[in-house]
Amino acid sequence: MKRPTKREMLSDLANSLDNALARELVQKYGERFNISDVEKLLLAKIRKEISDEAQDNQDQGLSGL
Amino acid sequence: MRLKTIKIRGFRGFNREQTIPLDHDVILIYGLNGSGKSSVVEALEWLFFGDISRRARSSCRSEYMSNYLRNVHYDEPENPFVEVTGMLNGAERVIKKDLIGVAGHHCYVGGDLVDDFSCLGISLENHSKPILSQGEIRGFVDTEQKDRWEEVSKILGLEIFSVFRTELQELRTKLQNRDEYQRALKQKNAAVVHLQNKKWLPTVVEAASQTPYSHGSVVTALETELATIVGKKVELGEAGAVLEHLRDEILRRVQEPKGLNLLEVQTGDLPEVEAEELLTSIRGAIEQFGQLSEQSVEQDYVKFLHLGLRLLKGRTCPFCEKETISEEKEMELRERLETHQPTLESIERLEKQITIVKEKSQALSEALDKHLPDLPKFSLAAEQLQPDALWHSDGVAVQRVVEQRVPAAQETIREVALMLDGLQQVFTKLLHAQTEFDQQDLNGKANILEQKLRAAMTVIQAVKSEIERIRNSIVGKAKGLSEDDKNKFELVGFISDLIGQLRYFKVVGAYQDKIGLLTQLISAADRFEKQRTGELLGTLSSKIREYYEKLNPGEQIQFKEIVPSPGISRQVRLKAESYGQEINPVTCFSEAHMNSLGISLYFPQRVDYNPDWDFILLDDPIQSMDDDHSNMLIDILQEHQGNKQIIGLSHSRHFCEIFEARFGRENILRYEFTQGDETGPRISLQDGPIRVLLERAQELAHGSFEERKTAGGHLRKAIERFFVEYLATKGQDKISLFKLPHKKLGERARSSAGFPDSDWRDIDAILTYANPAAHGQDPKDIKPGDLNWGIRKLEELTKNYHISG
Repeated sequence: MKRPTKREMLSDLANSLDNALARELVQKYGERFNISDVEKLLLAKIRKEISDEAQDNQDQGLSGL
Repeated sequence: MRLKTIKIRGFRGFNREQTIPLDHDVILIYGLNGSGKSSVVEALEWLFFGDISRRARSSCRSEYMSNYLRNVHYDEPENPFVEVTGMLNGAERVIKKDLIGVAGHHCYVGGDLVDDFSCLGISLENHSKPILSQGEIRGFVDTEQKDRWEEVSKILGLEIFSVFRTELQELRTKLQNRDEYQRALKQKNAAVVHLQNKKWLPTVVEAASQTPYSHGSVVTALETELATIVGKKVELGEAGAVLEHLRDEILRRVQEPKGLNLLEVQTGDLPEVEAEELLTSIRGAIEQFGQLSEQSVEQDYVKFLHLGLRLLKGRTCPFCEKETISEEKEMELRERLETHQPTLESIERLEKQITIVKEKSQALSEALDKHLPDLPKFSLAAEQLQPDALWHSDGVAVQRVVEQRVPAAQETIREVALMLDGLQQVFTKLLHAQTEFDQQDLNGKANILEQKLRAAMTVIQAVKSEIERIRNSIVGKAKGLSEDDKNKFELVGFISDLIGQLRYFKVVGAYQDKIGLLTQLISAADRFEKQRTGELLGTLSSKIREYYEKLNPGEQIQFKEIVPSPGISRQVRLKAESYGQEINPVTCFSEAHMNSLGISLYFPQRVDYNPDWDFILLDDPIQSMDDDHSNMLIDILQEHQGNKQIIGLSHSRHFCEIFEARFGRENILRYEFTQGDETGPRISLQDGPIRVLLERAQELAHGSFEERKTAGGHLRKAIERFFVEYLATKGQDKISLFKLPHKKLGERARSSAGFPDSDWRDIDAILTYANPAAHGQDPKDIKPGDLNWGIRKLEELTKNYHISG
């Protein structure tokens, strides 16, 4: 009987999660077991959400009031 | 992986290089404590699993900060090393690790340098280690429940969850501490607290506090509140103009003092987004310079080639203006440029990047300046306000803004502009290869610039807030305005600012959403780990129980199971039974039972569930065990004998006798370790197959007198084996033959098994060299050549008589 690998364990964890972003984070970690990959992914998501707001500001002409 | 040989030099107890053949099914190493046998185990641990278990289990790890792997007497220039030759998937592999410095290493497979041994395709994680070291046998049992959880995780291969959980917690803390989040949180909280204190915009306060944060809800709430204030529906995009109009309406009803109308500044948010983009461009340029500096070709040379070929007209060289560039030469130059095309493209990208940095720097400086007041207007306002007693203090405050605050803000903007200018100059010099690239220095400058930019914006915001405060103060004292209008004036001013600060709400929302997600993920991983542990522990427990029962058959004190402790703590309990009563084995088991339990834990995970490794190695497994338990352990080892190489180390001669009796002396490769000197342990091959004895003899035949004597001893033993095997082929019982004195073996072979005289004469000659004293010869007269002849002759006889071993 063979013990499941680290990757298989993390894959099982990912599959048990409802949240899509949480699944993505676990899968990202499972690629190289490097938490900085997860950090980069999270920061990219944060950047996107914030810059969507900056885009909204421009569209609404809020800058240079 | 099955072991064939191990070679050690300069590592732990080994100083001079020693090779130990291990190519046999059953190997026994006897040696008293301190004889160096555990150094062999540690060599295997370090080679394959990265460290020695003794250090991993130590409670004083700081003692291992110094050179604990290198032999203290080793002073050769070559690196210490451990090398194993083994069989893996039917192929022989040579695996070596050099020790570099205190704990560094280089790995080699088949002589090739590799990053690590993952290329072997076998599990190199600790829970797969087929070696059970001394400290580990009891280590699992005799430990705290929470530490046992970690151990179980490793045994079950679940420690990845512990690691993942810890790293997620650290990441969550890192996000919580990020400057951007902390700044935005401060601004958002200040805005919300102000709203709460003033009891303004309650629906906005509520929406801002929702989890998860919804920016849309905050915007909707704000627009609804605005509609109430303004009297009509207003979208945030138009709110600025509408609010300004409302304020003007209120001011028109004011018997306002002279000067109030002069106190105007740029509304709207500070250029935070532009600042972020500029910093990103700068850091991007630094990274690109770093990549370019790694390319070996001079930038100027590439540009020179590119320009030269552009200026080439026909065959005329652009320099000497003579027709010296042949078609072949042009082709060669173009090919050369093509190989450096990536460098050229990098340079072009950098040039564009630097232009972007320049443009953004200029735009930012201008944007920052716009938010500062018009000093002449403000000075005039201060002059107009101060004479009237009612506005005197406000006039003084305006004067302070003009004389102190604005100059301070301008100074910070100047510092930022100077830094930006300085950086641009460095970039330009780098582009023209006029200066050395120093990544650390540039990153340091970028960090200082970021701090100065933030400081500048904080100072400018403080100036704006002060001006707003002064305006509110003036309006608050103005005649002709109702309390309602005064409040409305202040509220409308605050809402104008709030709209600009909504970005901070978004930043906080984005961060808190991700921080919350990490918290949920940590809990989910925790729950998952516990659930999976519980499932696997059931299977593990039944296997452990099987082994425990084999080691302690029929006893009324038996191991039952390992279970997670109830509740949320990450702990694991051991359960046992004594005459039907549940007991705690940690506190109630005897030493021998504890060892049995430790061994029972080892076998399922590191033997049964470990197909990558074809050997079992037990280092002094019989601590506190009596003969019965020792025999049961050997029963278990014999069960695995068919598919695993068995290697046992012991300091107990009695255990070794039992081991030999049970496995059969004829089936064991046996070594004895004795304490040598500063060169390392003395390892003598006591018994083994003919092949190994002759190999060993061969290695020693050219050595010192003592070594030649030992070689002779091995040759003699090989002859004994030869006759045992020969007589066995004639139908005689091998086990009985091993009990015969060696002289009798030869006689029996001649007298009752037809061993021919001609071959006996060769044997006799070999014995003269192998055991000269018994033949009336001086051992000092035996030369290497004599021994070599004896070895070759015996090999030939072994082949002729089809004797295996």
